[in-house]
Amino acid sequence: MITTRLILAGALAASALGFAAAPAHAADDATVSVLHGVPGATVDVYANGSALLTDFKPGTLTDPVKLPAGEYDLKVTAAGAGADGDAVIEANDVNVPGGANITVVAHLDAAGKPTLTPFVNDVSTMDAGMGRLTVRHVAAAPEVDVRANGKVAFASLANPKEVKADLAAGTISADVVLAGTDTVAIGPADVTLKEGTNTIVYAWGSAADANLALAVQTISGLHSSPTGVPAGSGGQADDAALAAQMGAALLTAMAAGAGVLAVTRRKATERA
Amino acid sequence: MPRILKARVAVAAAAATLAGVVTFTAMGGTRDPASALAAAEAALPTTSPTVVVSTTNTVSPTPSVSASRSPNPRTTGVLRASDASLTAARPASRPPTRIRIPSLGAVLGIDPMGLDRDGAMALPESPSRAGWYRFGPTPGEGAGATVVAAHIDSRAEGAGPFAGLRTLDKGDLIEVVAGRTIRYRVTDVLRIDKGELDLDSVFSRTGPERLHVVSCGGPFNRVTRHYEDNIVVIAVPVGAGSP
Repeated sequence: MITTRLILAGALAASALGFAAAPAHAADDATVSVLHGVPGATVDVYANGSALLTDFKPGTLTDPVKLPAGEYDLKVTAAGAGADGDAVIEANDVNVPGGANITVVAHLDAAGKPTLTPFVNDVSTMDAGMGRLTVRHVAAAPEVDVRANGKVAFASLANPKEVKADLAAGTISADVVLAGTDTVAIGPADVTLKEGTNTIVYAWGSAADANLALAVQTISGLHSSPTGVPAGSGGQADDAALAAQMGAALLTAMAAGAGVLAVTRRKATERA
Repeated sequence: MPRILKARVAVAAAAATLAGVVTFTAMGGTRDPASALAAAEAALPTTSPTVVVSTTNTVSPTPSVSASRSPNPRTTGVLRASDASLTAARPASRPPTRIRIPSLGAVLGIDPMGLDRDGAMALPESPSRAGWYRFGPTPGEGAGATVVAAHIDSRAEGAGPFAGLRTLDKGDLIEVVAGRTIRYRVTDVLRIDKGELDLDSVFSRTGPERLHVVSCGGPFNRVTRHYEDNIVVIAVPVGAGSP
């Protein structure tokens, strides 16, 4: 079927493909997730007196929620204790900055006391082919080294600090050792660093209670696109080349036809 | 037969170029290529521009919590939490291994590909093998564009199966094997100058699930040994509404 369904694009400016503008107030909101890293306690979480989370089990992570920027009084109670129940953890005037992506972690401090720590998540764009690894020490345990494939990647990480790096996307075998030693505290475990994703690993639990564990949170959509698709180097499928071949084929056909005519005429002449 | 068909298309296109006329033949309406790529992505609303926290649960209603210390803040719902352990089950996704384009008589094996030294998508050397951009969505993953590309030709092998991409029509069938066979229908065939191509749209990971089959085309620059344009074929899963 002859077709001219080749759509010749005019200028395809990137601005023509601009995303719809976000609503004005969205810039003031923060994106907040909550991780429960206190072993053994199923809890309810209140923000400014309202229930944010109920029946929250250790080792679980909430979906992210948009909250207006500002200061929040956070309270963690035993499940079912009610808004006025005894606080397992209480933190007042916790600052939630507008536009930030935050994980609030309920965890044990280095001495084993329950506490709340807000961490700001790095959601900046990374290069294509890369993944971001973030590691947060939120366990009742001493300083640790974080190892990737047996080699120390981050040294002397203490509760409640974090470390991060952009690495080539792929799977690493990760473990956590007591700082400066080969004594494994957690792991090893396979951690997949997905491309364009911030993979946030939490070391949580209690060394004294032998329940140290790793939890993971992933934030996607931070990737960059490739710089192009270079899909041809032969030149044989070039428009002009094909047109030239077409032209050459026509000329060849015409010449062949003329030759046939000439031969025929000669024969006719000879016969006559 | 395919060779002559391509020659006719090339002559028509060359004639249009010579005439200085930008010929636009819409396949699905009066959309221009820019909005064809963008419309496919914009069809689904997104709550946040880029950031998605992956969990195994669906998103629950958003609680309404006031930042002020008013005496009676209202809550409209409660958050749900899901297992954050390292071994929590993640949905399996199968990479594509073969692409079939019956109207071209084309069948190509697909290799997962990453980036070349220049940060561009890497491709198998032979035009008779296709590459899948392995950092993007797999077919059937539910959102975003699965990108499958192949060289239109090479010095060693000449023109390959994807040299016929630009002859595809709206409605043509494309099949991709990823464990099971997923069937797509072509909605757009675009030829876009490389300098103007919006790569974020070609490699988009959001919006409705779709297939982008990519190669090169247009005039060939004999000095740089590169084609000036990319050919992008957009196809949607059979059964999906047209964008």
